[in-house]
Amino acid sequence: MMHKRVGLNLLLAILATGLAYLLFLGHRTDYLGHYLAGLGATLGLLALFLLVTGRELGWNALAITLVAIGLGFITESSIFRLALFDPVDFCNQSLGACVACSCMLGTRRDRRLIVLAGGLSPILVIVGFLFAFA
Amino acid sequence: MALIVLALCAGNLWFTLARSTIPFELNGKVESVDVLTEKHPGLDDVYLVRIGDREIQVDEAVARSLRVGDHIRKDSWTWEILNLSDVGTSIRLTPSKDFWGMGRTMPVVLIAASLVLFTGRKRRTDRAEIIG
Repeated sequence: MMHKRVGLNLLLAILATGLAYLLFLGHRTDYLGHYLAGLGATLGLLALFLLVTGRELGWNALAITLVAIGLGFITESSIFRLALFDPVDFCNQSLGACVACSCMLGTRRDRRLIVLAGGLSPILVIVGFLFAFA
Repeated sequence: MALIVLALCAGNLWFTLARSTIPFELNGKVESVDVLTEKHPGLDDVYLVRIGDREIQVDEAVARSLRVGDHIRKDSWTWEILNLSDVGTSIRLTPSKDFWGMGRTMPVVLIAASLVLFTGRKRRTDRAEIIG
């Protein structure tokens, strides 16, 4: 049953925040793009951690999220630095990472949850990329 | 985690407000006004203004109002840039669409993150009680 509750929370959080970005910041779809990419990438890392270690996500989830935020900082400073480092892009992708972590905190190895999170991860990253670059 | 989300939301609001120059004190000659293109030219262009030896990123409206060579002056947390080279003229400042959009979006993100954190905490507490 855990996977259903967590899955529902995850989908509702993505829907509510994604809609907010579209409604209020629709003129800047790159902000939504960075947010979804950060969310998707971190979700993937958390799902992978659950799959490999089987441990409950607690402080380790926070550590993974900080690593994801750090990786986001590096990519925003390098390969995605088109004009200059944009702190707003960094904040948005980091917020996505935090929302992913918030949804997954307290979860344990659950096959269906891992499949859901692992499946959503690349979809969100790709959709994020499209919003950011298309 | 909630504190990190709060800090990032505040960061978004600050950076988008900062580009209006409203929070800053400005005093000097406009040395250059540059436009750098990003992913969507015309939509997410980066406007850089050099005033004296200080370079800042500004909103498009601010960049288009400044002329190279003008001497300008502005106090911090005021909504007007005085053009000392053309006495009597000034530039009226307003926060950008990005700022107002963030003002509506960030509370949604904060509330969503807080709600899922709360339900997750409740889930762990319920599980602990069952195990206990």
